[in-house]
Amino acid sequence: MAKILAVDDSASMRQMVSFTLKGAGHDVYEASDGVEALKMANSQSGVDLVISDINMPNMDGISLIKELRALPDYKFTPILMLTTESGSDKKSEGKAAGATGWIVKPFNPDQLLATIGKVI
Amino acid sequence: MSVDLKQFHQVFIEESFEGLDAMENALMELNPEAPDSETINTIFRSAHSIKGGAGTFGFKRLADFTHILETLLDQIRSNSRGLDTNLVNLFLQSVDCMREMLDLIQQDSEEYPESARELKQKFEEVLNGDSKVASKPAQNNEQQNEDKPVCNILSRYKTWSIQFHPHSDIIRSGNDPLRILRELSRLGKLNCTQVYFDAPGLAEFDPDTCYLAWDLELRTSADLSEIEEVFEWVIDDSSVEIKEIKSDSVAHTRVNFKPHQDIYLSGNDPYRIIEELLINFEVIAIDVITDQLPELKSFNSEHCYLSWSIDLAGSFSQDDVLKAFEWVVDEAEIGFEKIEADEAKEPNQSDAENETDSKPANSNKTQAASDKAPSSGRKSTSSDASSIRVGIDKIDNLINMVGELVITQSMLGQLSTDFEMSKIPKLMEGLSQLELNTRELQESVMRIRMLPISFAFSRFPRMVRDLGQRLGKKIHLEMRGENTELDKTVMEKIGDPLVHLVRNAVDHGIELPEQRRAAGKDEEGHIILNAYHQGGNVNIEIIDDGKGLDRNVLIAKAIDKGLLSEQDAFALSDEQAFDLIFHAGFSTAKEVSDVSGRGVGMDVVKKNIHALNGNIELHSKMGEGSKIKISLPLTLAILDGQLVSVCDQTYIFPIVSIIESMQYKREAVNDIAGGCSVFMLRDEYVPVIKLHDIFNISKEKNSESQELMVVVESEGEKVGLVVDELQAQQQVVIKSLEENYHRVEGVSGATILGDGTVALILDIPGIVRLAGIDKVNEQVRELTFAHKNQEKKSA
Amino acid sequence: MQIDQNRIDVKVQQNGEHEDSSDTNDQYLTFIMADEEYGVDILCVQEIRGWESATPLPNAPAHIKGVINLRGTIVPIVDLRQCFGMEAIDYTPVTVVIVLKVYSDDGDRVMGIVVDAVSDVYSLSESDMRPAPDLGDAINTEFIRGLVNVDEKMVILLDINRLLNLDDIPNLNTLKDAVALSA
Repeated sequence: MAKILAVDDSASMRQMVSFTLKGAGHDVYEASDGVEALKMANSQSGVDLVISDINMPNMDGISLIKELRALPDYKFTPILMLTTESGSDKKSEGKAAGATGWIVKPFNPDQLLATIGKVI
Repeated sequence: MSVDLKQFHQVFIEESFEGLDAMENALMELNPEAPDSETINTIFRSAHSIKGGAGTFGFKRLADFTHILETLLDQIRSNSRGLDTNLVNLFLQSVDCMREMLDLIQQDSEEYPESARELKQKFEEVLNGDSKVASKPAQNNEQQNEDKPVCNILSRYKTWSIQFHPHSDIIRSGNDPLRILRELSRLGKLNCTQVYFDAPGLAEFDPDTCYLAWDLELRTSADLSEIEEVFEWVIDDSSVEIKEIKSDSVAHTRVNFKPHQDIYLSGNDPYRIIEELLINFEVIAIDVITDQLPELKSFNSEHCYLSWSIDLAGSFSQDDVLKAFEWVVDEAEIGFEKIEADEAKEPNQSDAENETDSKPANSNKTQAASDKAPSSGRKSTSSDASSIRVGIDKIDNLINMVGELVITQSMLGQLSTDFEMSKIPKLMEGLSQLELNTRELQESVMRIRMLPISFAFSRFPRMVRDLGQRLGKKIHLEMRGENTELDKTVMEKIGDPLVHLVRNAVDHGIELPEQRRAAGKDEEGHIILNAYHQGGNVNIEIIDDGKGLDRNVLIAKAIDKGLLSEQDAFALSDEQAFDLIFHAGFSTAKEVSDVSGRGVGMDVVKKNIHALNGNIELHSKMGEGSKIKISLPLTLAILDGQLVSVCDQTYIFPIVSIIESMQYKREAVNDIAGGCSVFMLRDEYVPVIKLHDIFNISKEKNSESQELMVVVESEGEKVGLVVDELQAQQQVVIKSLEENYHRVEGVSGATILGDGTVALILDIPGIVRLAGIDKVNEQVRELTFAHKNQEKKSA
Repeated sequence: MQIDQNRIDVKVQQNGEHEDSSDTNDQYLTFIMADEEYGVDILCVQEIRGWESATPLPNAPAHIKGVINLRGTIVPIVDLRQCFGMEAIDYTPVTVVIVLKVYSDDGDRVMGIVVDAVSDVYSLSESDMRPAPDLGDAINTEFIRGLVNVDEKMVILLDINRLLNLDDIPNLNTLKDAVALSA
């Protein structure tokens, strides 16, 4: 069982991710944008994985990754970003910011579990 | 693990509608000449979210439609494409189109509306206009993905040499090289041929840097793309070289070894034999053939079901090889094959069959799942027909209130356990605390139903823009007090009347630019929507700086329609003249325009607002503009009531319907034909209804001189209601009679008074119908006319 | 007025003991009106309370006594005597209102019925019941679930779901005479 922080401004995506991960026995914390996620990341220790959308209001995913990497607790934590295929430049931008990898939307719950299985 | 995605559909639909609202607003705000990047971002984000969700939740058509939209928006976002009004209009149309598609999805039919098809084509034209990129590449990608399984089937075991020299910062990106190695080992047999460790001296050693690199050999049935996928996240920064070791391409000998089933019973171990081969020969590949494995239930752990095919390179005699099999050769089947370089690619039969079998099975399963899905989906959409989103602060507040209530309750409980008279002050204090808690709790609960009025206002920017464009008018819409909260039910019912009023302001209020210029006004007209709380009411104002109402036009029209006599016309105040537009069948537009409808307008608006216990007023000044003010009760659950008593019973008048009350004088009342009586109120005749007659309540005391008359307005007509006495005015909570009984004519509901008894709330138009006054109104009006004419003659 | 809940419970138990043979027993609360005993399915009974004055509804039929406040909901009160065309009597402190939950097409409704007094609780099985006599088309007996004899008294079991949803409730005096004749 891993502790996972799921960040997405879209409630339906967030619920789907969270539901799937919870179903697989993980502990899931949800945030709806970067600011909220960062706050949560600061208050939670021992997060094993962060899954974050890129396009979000207030603080986008790229900035969130940069902020998280700057925190000692999140130096090595796997961070996966949710992207769409059109965002190939976003992938490199995300990697530059410190993202571990990505999951391409649309994905289904099984693909999600398979992917996170790679890192936890 | 199977997750039913249907459960997220409703959330997706709701948030997509919200996203579309946001997108629409942002598009309205957008100045095509100098687009604000944050606004563009907001628009992009909405399209992006809808696309992502639609794809994930299986709404292919919507995903398809939003894809092209997203591509365009992305180009605009990255400044590789300009923006013009035409494109903004197309985007706005796409918002409508997506709304339509969402509606369809909600009804469980995901069709491509005709408008979507057309719009998509237009977008494609835009995209193809300057570059031929369009959305084709994306489709190709999808094609490729679908082709993958076919490659898989043809693939067989291959050996790959992988040089993995991670970037020194790899750990800082959260990627763990060991995780990647682990991942590779899942694909097949992984050997590490070389590990490089290029660390500096301990003094400069940085624990966050990766100093390791690997040379690996992987024997797998996976193809190149699957191996590359493992490195997907690091391939750009790290040096990763993947090469197929074409060992198969050299001529070699394949040894097919099928041990006897009972080989273990002889104390022989096939693995030992293979190990021996490994030691003595150059083994380039070993395949395990598992096709003889029985069903688990017939599996005998003492039997060997496996066979092997071992590829040996180099030259050697078969006898040398057979030495290794010496002890088992009699019982086993051992064959030798010479494999030429080109034949090496021949697919492994058993593998291929296994895979082809499994693929269709899988797709059958998904087919079955999607067949089953629609029925469950329908259920979930219908159950969610009416939900309300409540801010977390309101819920928290409610929880606090309940907490306080519990404290008060336990305090009172404590007090009661050993009560003495001396504790009475404490009891009183507790009770007043309880009263306070209760009231606060009630307010908090009421607040849950309250939504900001922006829900009703949000459609106007788009509407005003579209109408303005169509009519060739320049209009600036300003909205104030959008956070003013209003009961959800009131909100739903005020929507249409507001649309009508705003349309009127655009259509009839604001003039064309040249007219405005001629009148010395700014070319751009202003419409202000303003909402604010005042007392227990919400006021909504619609203000325009247009041409205003022309009193003379209104009066001429009223006379023309027979609503007014010429003599009366002169006596009318401005207010009264403007009120004429609220009369049924009164339309001031010289020709009926398709914008403002056909004169069913203002009287219906007024009626709707009255039905909400609200009020509407109109102020206007020729050439300067008009102001319409609507006041509405905060909620439909609570009513400002005037308590009256009739024969020991208490009834409640909605205060908004009361015009005045006065002493009832029998001598001022005349009976007219039809069993109706009227009385003279200043200069008009008003029908009189005795509440106890109409309600069939037995009247005990017969002292009519004591009675009062409450003059109320019912659908534009005045009516006097006779009651015994007026009591207090108070806010009452409306309870339904229909829940356990049925509708009662003349009564709109009930409430519970302070003493716990039930009092009925009067429905004034219902009472008028009950009394049959509506039928005699015509007669009353004639009477009033006659009276006035008489007065004029005598004067 | 208060009904002794314990007393009812005891009765239920006793009845249960000597009629354990049938497992399809339904319990009925019986009440008295004009010296006749009537029963209603106890599962429909929400509570029993004393008469308190109700707020009359305008232009309502005579048997609708009005509405009362039952913990915040508005509940109509029906005088079952008048409903059945019996002579109305004045309400006294022992006049009882039985609050019933009625299932109708548009959801559950709560209603109170005014009766002379509450009598007993019986455990009865389907086999104890006799159908209501067929009184021809003139009298609707649809709302009678059955007749049953308890200690040589006849009890008329009412189907309140049918009864209180009926638009036109027949005059029960005729019914009583007809039943007496046919018995």
